[in-house]
Amino acid sequence: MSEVSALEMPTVGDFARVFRHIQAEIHKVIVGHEQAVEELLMALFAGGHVLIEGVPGTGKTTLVKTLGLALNLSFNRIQFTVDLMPADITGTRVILTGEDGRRDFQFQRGPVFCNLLLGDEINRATPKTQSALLEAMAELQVTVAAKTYPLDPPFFVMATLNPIEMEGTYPLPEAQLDRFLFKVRLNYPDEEQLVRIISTTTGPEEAGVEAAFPREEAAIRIEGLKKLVRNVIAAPALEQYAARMVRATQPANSKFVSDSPRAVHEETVNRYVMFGSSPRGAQALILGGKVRALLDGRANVAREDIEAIAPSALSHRIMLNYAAHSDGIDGAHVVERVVRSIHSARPV
Amino acid sequence: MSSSYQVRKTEEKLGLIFGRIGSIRLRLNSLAWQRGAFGLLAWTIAIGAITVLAAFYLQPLTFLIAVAILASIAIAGVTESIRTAWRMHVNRAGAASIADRRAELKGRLETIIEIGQRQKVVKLRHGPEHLMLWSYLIEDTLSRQDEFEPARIEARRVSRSIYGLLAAVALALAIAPLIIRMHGKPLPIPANQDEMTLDLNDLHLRAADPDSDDGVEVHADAATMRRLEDKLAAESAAGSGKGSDTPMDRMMSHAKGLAGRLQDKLTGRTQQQRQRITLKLADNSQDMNSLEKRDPVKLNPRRKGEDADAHFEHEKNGGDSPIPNTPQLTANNPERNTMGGGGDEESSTPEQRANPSDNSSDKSDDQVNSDSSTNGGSSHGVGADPDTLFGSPAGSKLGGQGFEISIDARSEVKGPKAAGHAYLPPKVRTPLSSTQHPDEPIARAAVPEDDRAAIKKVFER
Repeated sequence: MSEVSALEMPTVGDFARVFRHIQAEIHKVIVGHEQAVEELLMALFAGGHVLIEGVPGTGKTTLVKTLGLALNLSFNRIQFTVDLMPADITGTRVILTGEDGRRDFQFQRGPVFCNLLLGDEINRATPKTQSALLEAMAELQVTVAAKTYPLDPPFFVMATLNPIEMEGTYPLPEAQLDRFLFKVRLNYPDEEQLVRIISTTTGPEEAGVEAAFPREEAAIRIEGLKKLVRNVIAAPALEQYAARMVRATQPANSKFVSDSPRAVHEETVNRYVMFGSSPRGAQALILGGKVRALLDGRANVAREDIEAIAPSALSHRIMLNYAAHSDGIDGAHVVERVVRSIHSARPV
Repeated sequence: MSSSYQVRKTEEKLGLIFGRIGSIRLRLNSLAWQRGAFGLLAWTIAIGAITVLAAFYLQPLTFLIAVAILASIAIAGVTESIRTAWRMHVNRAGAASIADRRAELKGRLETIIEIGQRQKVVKLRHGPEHLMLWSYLIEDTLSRQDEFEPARIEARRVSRSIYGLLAAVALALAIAPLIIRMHGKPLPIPANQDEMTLDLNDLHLRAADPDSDDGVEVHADAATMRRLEDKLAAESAAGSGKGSDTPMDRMMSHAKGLAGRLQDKLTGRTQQQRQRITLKLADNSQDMNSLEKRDPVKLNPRRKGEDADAHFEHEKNGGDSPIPNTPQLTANNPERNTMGGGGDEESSTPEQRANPSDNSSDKSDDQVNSDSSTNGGSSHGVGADPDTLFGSPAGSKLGGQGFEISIDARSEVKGPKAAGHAYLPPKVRTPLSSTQHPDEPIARAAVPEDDRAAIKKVFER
């Protein structure tokens, strides 16, 4: 903390400038996926984690690696497989011989001890292994053999999901899904983007990424920006707006949310949703809204920020039923209906 | 020191923003109340004008229904105007929200209003970073003060609802000359509606409500009038038999009376000035005509006495004959009764022939007169040939279908003997044909001698 205060306190202008700079560096390597990159950075500065979903070959791993380079932070990658054990992630106590010849149990840190962690194809590991990340993601600490080891901030987990090869996979438990601030989708690039990808990746030179911060300042600077995000002003009415939106995704409470007799979301939620968003959804809305406000040069959250962030912040927190699957309804569709309904019910 | 100075400056700027939002709120609320007031006036004026106009043209029952509908519309309109005005009314946060949207300030003003109202708490709770962002927000918002000037947020000073008020006033002004011209004067009847010629057989009669206006003037020849009397009497008897004086009837009667009085107040008319229709009746029944023409007295020997009983001419008869529940029919035009030429004697009633001197007195009465011999003693026209009286009856044009017309006629009893006596319809004895014989008692036959003993035994047992 003293290190943070030693540096100059970032301003609203600083935040937008740093953000755009990192964004630009990433796009030197990543072609397209503008929204995905922006949401990835927003999650980083909001202090959350990101679940990246996309078909193979769309640049999920490359995106995360590039981010690590642009931020100049420590970066680890874990390839999740079915035989991966929790200790392979968190680390374990091993017997080591000391200089004096004494043999003693020492904690060997796992790959989770880094700033940026890429969990590639996280759904291929067993739920036991997946949940090894829970404590690290939520509390920035790891407990092994009754001893807790804190993680160095910033700690940012980016997990990828392959939605196609579902055989031999273990869908993420709801508790773990809820710990991801945003779920980012990577779609196929269009033709123009594909041509650029070919030309930049098949040539003799690789695109170089310039780090936004010096190595020794990177973590502190990023923490300073994260603190600025937390201080962005959200009016009580906006907090209430986010709360209403989250409650609207819950089938039991959906009908109490809107005064509008034509609440379009009610039918959708009650018909397709098994469980709605948790309170973490509301936190994600406000935090994402704060980052958007800073990017727009504002010190206050607006309704537009919350509405814009809602699909990424809420869609993966909504558990759908069989009717939704059979009708081809996904979480984003439900959230879109909810946002439209809540927006129309705004006081004039 | 610098921190407190910064806080003071921030609060000064906050005061400026609050003042600007207060002006916006004042303007918005002014429009809201204008909306309510103009809407209230517009609905009141428009509905009032239409109601007064309706009072001149509509019959009481129709007017009553129209007033009910108009009152409902007025209540709905006024309620909606007030509700809209209430919804448009905003508090400070609402004004800030509207200003945010219209000036595209993305929630800056709304946030300032909400946070500013409890800023002391915020200052105590949050650190310097928060204060820095708070100052930044105020500074940033104040730098955009041109964008949220009251005139830019709401350009209008007068609500658009004034157009509705002007339209209502224009409507009232357009109606006013008409109302002034017609006030206190009877309604002019259109030329094609003041007289109707009908066949009696196509006329459906029913008992009138007590409060109905006697707005129909019936003209017919004597024989047709007698048939009309019979028909009315039959209807009256049927009506009294059904017990028509139900609570609903009384309520309707009361309502119509109320509507009539309201109409009279609005129009300045008296009851006598209400619309009157002249109904010319013709009897197109060929069979009856031929019988009547042949020998009305012979065919209906009681007619004379019955005619004396069936007093439609209460004034003429001095109220001697009580005829309750009998519709009041007014002046038959004697001149029209004498139209037609031939068949004078045949068409005159037995009473006319028996007492022609009464006709002179009848002439002066403007009442229904079954004796139509005032014109030089000729009482032609009885038998009611429509072709020779009032032209072709309207009913004859309708083929076999015919139509019904309801006459709202008021039963009126005049004279000392009127009360307590029911109207007795004249009995009609249908004449026998030439092949028929009157009934005669059959002569008692004598008991045969052989059977007398046996019969005696049976009765003795």
